[in-house]
Amino acid sequence: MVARMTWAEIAAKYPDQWVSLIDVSLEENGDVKSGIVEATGPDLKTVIKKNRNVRSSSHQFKYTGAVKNFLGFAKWDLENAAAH
Amino acid sequence: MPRLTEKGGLLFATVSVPFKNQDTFELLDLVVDTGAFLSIVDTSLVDYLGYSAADALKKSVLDGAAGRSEGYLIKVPNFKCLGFEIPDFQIACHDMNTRLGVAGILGMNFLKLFRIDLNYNTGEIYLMEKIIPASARNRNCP
Repeated sequence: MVARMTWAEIAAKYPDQWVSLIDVSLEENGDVKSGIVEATGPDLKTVIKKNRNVRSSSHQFKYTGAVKNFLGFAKWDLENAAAH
Repeated sequence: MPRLTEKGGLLFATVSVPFKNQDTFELLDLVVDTGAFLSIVDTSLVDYLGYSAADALKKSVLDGAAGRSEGYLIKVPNFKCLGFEIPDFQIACHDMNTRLGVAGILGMNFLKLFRIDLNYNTGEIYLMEKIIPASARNRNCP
């Protein structure tokens, strides 16, 4: 049987992982309150591969760890890009 | 009042993007970034939502600290964020290093539509919609 866990429990059990959650319950401010973990992995692509068939508005992918050295992007070139 | 979530010194907004040709949607966490011209979503998530390069409006090329990234622009029928719904919203799709904990960016093509009051310490954010004609909203956007 799959257990529902709070977000704190999920983050503690799967540190620095992407998790695929179903039956997500949200706090009033939109944060995840609890959910059922369907798949986990170090990167999103891995988790999505494990979980391709879920199509539900109560589903969410979340990262449990802290963001590491994210810099964003410096320059954007749309003008010179060839249209598809 | 809507609230952003702080992680690692960055602020995240939860947004809602519909699956292609479906009524169901997915909630995504995007980093709020005034330095990003457009909003970006990782390609694996875009694929998951049913969109692909076949839906591309244009090719998108980004040069950043981690090198060059090539992707494409798509338009989603609606984009819900912080209490507002934007129709026909453009998203740049790029492969992101999701091991860093980020799978998307909420960029200026959303943020510029509003006057924004942000309390960084609490994450509370207040958006007031600017009075601009809908036809002008995508000006300077591809």
